[in-house]
Amino acid sequence: MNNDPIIRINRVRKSFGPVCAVSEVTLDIAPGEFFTLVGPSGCGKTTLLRMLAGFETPDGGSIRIDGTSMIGVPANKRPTNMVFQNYAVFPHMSVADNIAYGLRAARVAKGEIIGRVEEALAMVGLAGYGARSPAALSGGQRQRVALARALVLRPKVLLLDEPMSALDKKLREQMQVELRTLQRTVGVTFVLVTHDQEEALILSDRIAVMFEGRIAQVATPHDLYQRPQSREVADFIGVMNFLSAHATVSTPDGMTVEIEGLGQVTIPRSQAPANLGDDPVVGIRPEMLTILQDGTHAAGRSARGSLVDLQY
Amino acid sequence: MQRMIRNGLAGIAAVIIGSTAGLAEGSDLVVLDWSGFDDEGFYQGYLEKHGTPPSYSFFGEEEEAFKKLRAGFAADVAHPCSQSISKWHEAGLLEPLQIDRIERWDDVNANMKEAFNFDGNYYMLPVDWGTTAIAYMPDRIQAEDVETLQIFLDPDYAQQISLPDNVDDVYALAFLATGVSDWTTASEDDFARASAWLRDAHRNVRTYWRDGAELSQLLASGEVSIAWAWNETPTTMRLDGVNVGYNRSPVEGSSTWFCGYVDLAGGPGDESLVYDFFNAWLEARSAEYIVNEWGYGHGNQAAVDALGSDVLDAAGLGAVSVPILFQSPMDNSLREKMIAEFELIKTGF
Amino acid sequence: MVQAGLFHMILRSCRRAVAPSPGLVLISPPFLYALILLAAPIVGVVMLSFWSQDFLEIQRDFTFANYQTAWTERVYQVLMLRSIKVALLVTVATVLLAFPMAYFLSFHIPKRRKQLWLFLITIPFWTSYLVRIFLWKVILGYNGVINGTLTTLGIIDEPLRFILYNQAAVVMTLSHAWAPFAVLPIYVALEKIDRSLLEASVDLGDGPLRRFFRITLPLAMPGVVAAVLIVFIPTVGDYITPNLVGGPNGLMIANMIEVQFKKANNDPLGAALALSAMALVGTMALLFIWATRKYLRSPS
Ligand SMILES: Nc1ncnc2c1ncn2[C@@H]1O[C@H](COP(=O)(O)OP(=O)(O)OP(=O)(O)O)[C@@H](O)[C@H]1O
Ligand SMILES: [Mg+2]
Repeated sequence: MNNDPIIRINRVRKSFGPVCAVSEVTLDIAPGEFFTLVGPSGCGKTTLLRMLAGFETPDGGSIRIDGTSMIGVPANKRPTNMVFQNYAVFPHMSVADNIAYGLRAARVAKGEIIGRVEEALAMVGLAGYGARSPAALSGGQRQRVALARALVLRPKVLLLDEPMSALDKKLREQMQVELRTLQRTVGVTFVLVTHDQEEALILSDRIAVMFEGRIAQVATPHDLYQRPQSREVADFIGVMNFLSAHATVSTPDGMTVEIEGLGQVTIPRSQAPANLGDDPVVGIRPEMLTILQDGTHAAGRSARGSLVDLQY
Repeated sequence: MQRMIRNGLAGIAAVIIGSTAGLAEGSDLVVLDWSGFDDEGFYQGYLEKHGTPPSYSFFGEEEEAFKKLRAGFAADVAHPCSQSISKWHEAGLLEPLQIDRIERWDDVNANMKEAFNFDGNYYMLPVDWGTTAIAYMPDRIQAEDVETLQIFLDPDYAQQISLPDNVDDVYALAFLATGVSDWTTASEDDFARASAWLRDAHRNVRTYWRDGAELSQLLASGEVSIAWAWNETPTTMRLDGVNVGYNRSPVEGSSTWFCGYVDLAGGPGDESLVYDFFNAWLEARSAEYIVNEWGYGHGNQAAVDALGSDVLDAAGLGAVSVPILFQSPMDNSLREKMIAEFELIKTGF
Repeated sequence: MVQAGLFHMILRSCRRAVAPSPGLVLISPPFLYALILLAAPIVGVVMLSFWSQDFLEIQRDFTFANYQTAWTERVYQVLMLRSIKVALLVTVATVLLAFPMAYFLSFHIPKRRKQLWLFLITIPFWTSYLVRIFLWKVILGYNGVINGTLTTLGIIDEPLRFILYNQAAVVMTLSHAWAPFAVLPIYVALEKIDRSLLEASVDLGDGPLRRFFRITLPLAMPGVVAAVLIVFIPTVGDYITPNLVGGPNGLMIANMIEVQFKKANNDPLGAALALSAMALVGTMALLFIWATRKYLRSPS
């Protein structure tokens, strides 16, 4: 397996009338990666995903999947498969027929279909459910059918549009684990769309944060959490306290800032980009703060305060 | 007998208007009549005397009227045609006419009134009649070709003829064509011959016409060239400027039908209104009106004769020298057989 | 009037007898209405069909003779078969005509214009059915629109006669008349199809044609079945159209039923014919529903 990106998105644009849904997105996704698009509602995640699937045509830019340009390639000829938000399980077909759907479209031999459907059912933990009607399945089971139906075709890329949003919290957490395991087992590139940043952080190899049709940052979950490159990313991922500050000393190793009410704090260079100017904003994750007893404080890394209210 | 509705839509509208009128005025004369027969020209005398017209309720078909009366609809007079009277009489719907209260009873066409003399009682006042004969389009058909009723069997005119969807007129044609001009004396064999003739004619039929408007359209559009038609159809078509021929004198003969008013048993209105209405109908001006405006004959024979043979010939109502099959009432069992047979023939049996 | 009074009495006594749940009160007026206006006449017709008639007198002795006549005499068999044949042809033609219209409406008309289009589809109903039949005569007639056009274009010398006054004309006229009735249920069924199912089908590799036969059509089946029943059932009993455009060989069973009740003075035979036709149509409808049952299960 070479390490050329499996998906190359270059300056892709898409507008719906006056609404610019996706603007100038450039993105590479590596083979076998679990890649997530995250962002607030309406930021263009679905639109971008649908352009990968072939359901929307970009107004400009190029998309290459596995080295082939996707311009003019209809959805049914693309090496991608999709898991829809509502799963889109065909209600008039049994579970097995749903899973065999794409194999029949590809005119795979009958005997082979049976075997591959069984395999796919087993893979998603639905062995023995083939004859059931989708109406007799729970939400989580339907999602597994949708997954099996797409994966049985051995796509190069699996696209998932908010697959968990219809599940209750408990089931969602369980499915997240399973999805991650499944992705590791099959080794297919997953591109997941979600507006749940927690889900993105748990599942992904890399995450792209989108705002208003633009990609604000692409990073691993760790980097995204630890080193958000802009205030809006920091605000979107996790909880962050923002404090205004004044830079006092700047060295190649780091930056010392004077934070109002907290005093002087030194921040390592890796977390403080060079071009911040004299009055940067400092963000602190709440879990990074520790409340100490009076008097036991470390100089330069603590500040005095009083407890006003206590919530559980 | 199914009457022409001058214009299908007017008929429908008239039904609606008529029935509401009938509800509005309760106590006066209630007339159950063919759509369109509330024409004031028919009963001016009544209008002059009472100031308001009777309340009309309409029907499009006699069977419909029959069912309605049997179901208890209350009317004073009704307007069936000759073939229905016996049935209505047997059903006990009619009461005898008090002919001494009918001013011009002696002028009424004798054949027609005597047809419904049951045991010395008269049951129908004939008011309108017409003829049934060959209507043809002279631009497509030579006049000499319609000198015989056998033209209806001529394969050269297959798909160019139309017959009435009306058992009486159709059998009048079939009986005439097989040499019977009085169906009251027709035998089983006569009936069988007439039916066989009709079966042959059926093969040539483009469609059976149901009302005068439809027939006019069939002829004028070229859909058919020859029809067994009522005289009113050529009359009204000529008024519209269409050149149409009407031959009442083919060698085998032609037919006459008639209709009239009956006094319904147990009518809600005053009997004197009934006779005012009858008397108004029998006035000479009513006769003149119906001949000139509607193309129908009238039951007051004296008044009709007074119009002169030119007027009558032009309307297809004059005297002819060939046999005339007068559609007088016949034995009910023969008529039932005719009805059944005609349905078989129309279905292709 | 009598019926309404009776109905109020029943309703009042019901109220007094039990304290009904609000749902029962709500449903009982229409239910009683349906019972009085629908069930009662049918019971009457059923009884009539086992009696006999001698000219004007109804004889109330139980007999199967009417049914025997209705099912064994050639003329009734022929008319019944012809009615069913015509109704089947009309149904097929109507659904084939209506489906593309419904499809276009559902998939190619922007949402905000759909109301307008639905409204436009109902425009033919603004004119009476009789007027529409007459218009068909104008179109199909000897010097009608079609013949006129073909003659002017020099395609034919003599006007065509085979396009009016036969069964084909009946089929054409009725298909046109029924089309809106068929469009609506099919349209509703198509509207109900989750669009992501169609995308899923393409995503899994189907082209437009295979998608249509594997997803769109099966999911539209409830609408198609409804359309078929809506068209088929009343067409078997139609008698106006065959009368007006059917010509000498276009008569159907309902024409014969009418004749029995009117001119032929044989109400019991008319009733037996009507009920036989009803039974036949009912059986065919049930068989059809049974044959298509796998498409009719409602999802979820
Ligand atoms: N078919 C369309 N026609 C018109 N506008 C559209 C269409 N699809 C999307 N949009 C608009 O484009 C923008 C981006 O939509 P998109 O569905 O990609 O957002 P999203 O990030 O997936 O949001 P969500 O999290 O709510 O699903 C939105 O403003 C949306 O209203
Ligand atoms: Mg979305």
